[in-house]
Parts: sequence; structure tokens; C-alpha cells
Amino acid sequence: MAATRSSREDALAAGFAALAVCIHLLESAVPMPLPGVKPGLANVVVLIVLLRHGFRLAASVALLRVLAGAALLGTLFTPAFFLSLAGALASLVAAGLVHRAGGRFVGPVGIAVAMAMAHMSGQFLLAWQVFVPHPALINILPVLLAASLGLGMLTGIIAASVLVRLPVPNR
Amino acid sequence: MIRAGDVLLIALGVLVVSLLATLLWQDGEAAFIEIRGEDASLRHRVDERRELRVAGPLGETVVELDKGRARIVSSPCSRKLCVRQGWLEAPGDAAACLPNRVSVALIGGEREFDAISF
Repeated sequence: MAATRSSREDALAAGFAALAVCIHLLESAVPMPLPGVKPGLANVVVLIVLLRHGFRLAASVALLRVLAGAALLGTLFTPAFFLSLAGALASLVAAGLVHRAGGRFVGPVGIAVAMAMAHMSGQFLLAWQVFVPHPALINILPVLLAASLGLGMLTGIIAASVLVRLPVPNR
Repeated sequence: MIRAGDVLLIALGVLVVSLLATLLWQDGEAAFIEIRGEDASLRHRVDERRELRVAGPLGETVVELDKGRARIVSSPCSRKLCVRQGWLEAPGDAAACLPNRVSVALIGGEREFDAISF
């Protein structure tokens, strides 16, 4: 029954995206020492969806999160929105590749690290090439990537401990 | 909870970060000074001793070059933040006098820009 299956998937995507949006909103209220750096806890949701329900649903959740999050923050179609979108897309691609290539040798922590660093790189490249094309800006990239490496490990560990407690859905 | 691939990916991340840091943060000698005024910018070799004078809306900002380093000696602004910045010694160091619309920055000799924008 293709129709019921896809509507069930839609409901799942909507539910998870709502959760991710909430986390995204709460997180954007927390001040961070460096612009462009934040914990990325909404990625925990995307990562869990990827591991439990596959890439397609994870992609829907990530993109819905960017769209709805920006609409609620009032940043829709502003530079912040496009930065967020670039980060989310890069992070999705990295997650999909690492998950597929790594198979069972890669767990949530590795995927989360790849996602965080890809997110930062995508966001940074867009910012650097389009919004603030100053040659010296790239000097801060190692700092930003180091931060995303650490925060990626943190979100990966969070995702892993949530996955242990989360009951496996019956399909 | 942590698998072999995770360790590999974390190590890869550390490698990328340290590689980028060593590539991007190499200190060299400053070869040029770039002085931007209100409507003109000039680039000058920095390996000699001389004074450069730049005209701005408030008056003249005096920049001193001293064999690889540079500083703003005087500027007709009120707070003198640019003068207090002191000597600029490494490529990338910069000082700016916003009231007089003058900025100076040291530039390394070997690295080329990926992009220049004004």
C-alpha cells in the first residue's frame, strides 16, 4: 500500500522536523563566543532519522528544519537562511556518503563529525565567496573547523546515547 | 558506542584542521604595505626606512616604514587608536584610522590572493 506508506513517512518527517525546529530555535537563543559556531543539536535529530529511517527521510527533515526554522526566526531568504541551507545540504551529502561508504564500521559519532565539519565548510565557503569575500577571512577556517570537530563529537555522542534508549520502530 | 570508522573519521578531521592551520597560518616576512585612503589605495615595499603621508578628510595621516615593519605615527583623529596600535610586524597585521578614512595593512611576499575586493 504505497499511499499509506508514504503518508506515514510524511507524518514521521513532519514530526521529526518539528522536533528539529524546536531544538534549532532554542539553540539560536544561546549566545556563542564565535559567530558561525553553535552546537548543532538539531543535527542529532537528522542523524537519528538517517540511522533509523534512511537517507530520504533524513533529507526531508533537514530541509524542512532549515525552511521552518528560518520562517519562525524571521530570517527566511536572508543571508542567514542561505548559510543555513548551504550547511544543511553539505552536511546531508557528507552524512549520506559516510553512512553508505562506512557501513557498520561507522557509527553515529563518526557520521556526526563528518556532518558537523561539512556543515561548517559549506556554510563558510558560501559566506566567504558570496557574502564576505575578504581574502583574510579564510584564516579563521581552522578555528571554526576545530570547533565543529569537537561539537560534532559531542552531538554524535548525544545521538548515540539517544539511539540506545529509543525503541526501534516496527515497520 | 565508538567504532573503528568513527576513530578514523575523527583522526581525519584532526588531520584536516592541522593541515589547514599550518598551510594558512605560516608566518613570513611582510613584503608590502597596503595603504588605503578615502579614494585611493597604494602598495609600497616595506623593506626600507621612510615616511608616507596620506591625505584624508581630516588631514594627513603619517605612516612610518622601518625595514619590514610599519606603524601610524600620527593621525588627525581624536582618539588615536590607530597610533596606539603600535608597530605592525607580521603579514596580516593592520591598523585603521576610521575618522580619517585611512587603513594600513602588511602583506606577505609569497602568497598570492585568491580574490581581491574593494
